[in-house]
Amino acid sequence: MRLKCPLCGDRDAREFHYRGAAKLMERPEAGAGEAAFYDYVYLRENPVGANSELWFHELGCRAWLCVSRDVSSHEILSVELADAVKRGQA
Amino acid sequence: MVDLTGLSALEGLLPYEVDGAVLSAVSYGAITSIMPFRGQKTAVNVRLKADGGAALPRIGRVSGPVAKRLIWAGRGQYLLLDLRRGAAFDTTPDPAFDELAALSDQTSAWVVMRLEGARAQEVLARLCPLDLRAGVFKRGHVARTELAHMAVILWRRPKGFEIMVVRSVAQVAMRRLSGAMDSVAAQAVLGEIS
Ligand SMILES: [Zn+2]
Repeated sequence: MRLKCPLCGDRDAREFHYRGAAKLMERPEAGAGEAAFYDYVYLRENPVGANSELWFHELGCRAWLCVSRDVSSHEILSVELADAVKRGQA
Repeated sequence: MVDLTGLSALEGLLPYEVDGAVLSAVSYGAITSIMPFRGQKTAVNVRLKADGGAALPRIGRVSGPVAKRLIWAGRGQYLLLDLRRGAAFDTTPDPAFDELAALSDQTSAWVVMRLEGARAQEVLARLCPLDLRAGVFKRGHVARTELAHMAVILWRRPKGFEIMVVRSVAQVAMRRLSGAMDSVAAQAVLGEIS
């Protein structure tokens, strides 16, 4: 499997670290309450098809990446800098 | 005060040579990390040029003269290298950059090795997943990548490659490289590779 890092280009999957669902970027506000944090920490979608994920280019440029991956075929649908996604620039 | 003798992380271990490849240690005058603050890249470039250097290079590239060589070193990070061996340097970050970028002296944090020779690329191919063919990874190109599970900065030099690793893994990286050199040289002798 290969990922196309927006900075480094096409790279082997072994350079990357898989963190989890991209939902981790949507941390509730401090006062959001227990239910919101329970949902944020423990609950995940389990789609057949495109899944939004966070990957870290650990053995590369060390950028956090938002990756859309088809979990049934491993096809990489898109890769964006998490920083740009968070700031609405992707 | 006792006069201490500074030793490199690879003291007495290099150069290492096999048929077709030579691995040697490189010692730079100074290595400074420059991480421009958000929105300050243009101002950093102005400052660097005022100091007689070049602007920050593009992603995966190198810029600047020999005493002020700049290499891209990852997201938002550049290394300023004084390539003159043993050049005297001031480790105090230049206050002119205070509002523009985070500067840190990393001279003793990195260990630099140079791999040269006709089979240098074959040696690296054993350890690194990057396409290092001369037509793809060219002069002036630099990459952050993996070398035997270690994070490295790999840089195309006139006669081969330079490999920068953090000091703590210097000897492991050196042994993996020399092992790959042995392997490539042995297979060449046995006629298993051309
Ligand atoms: Zn990258």
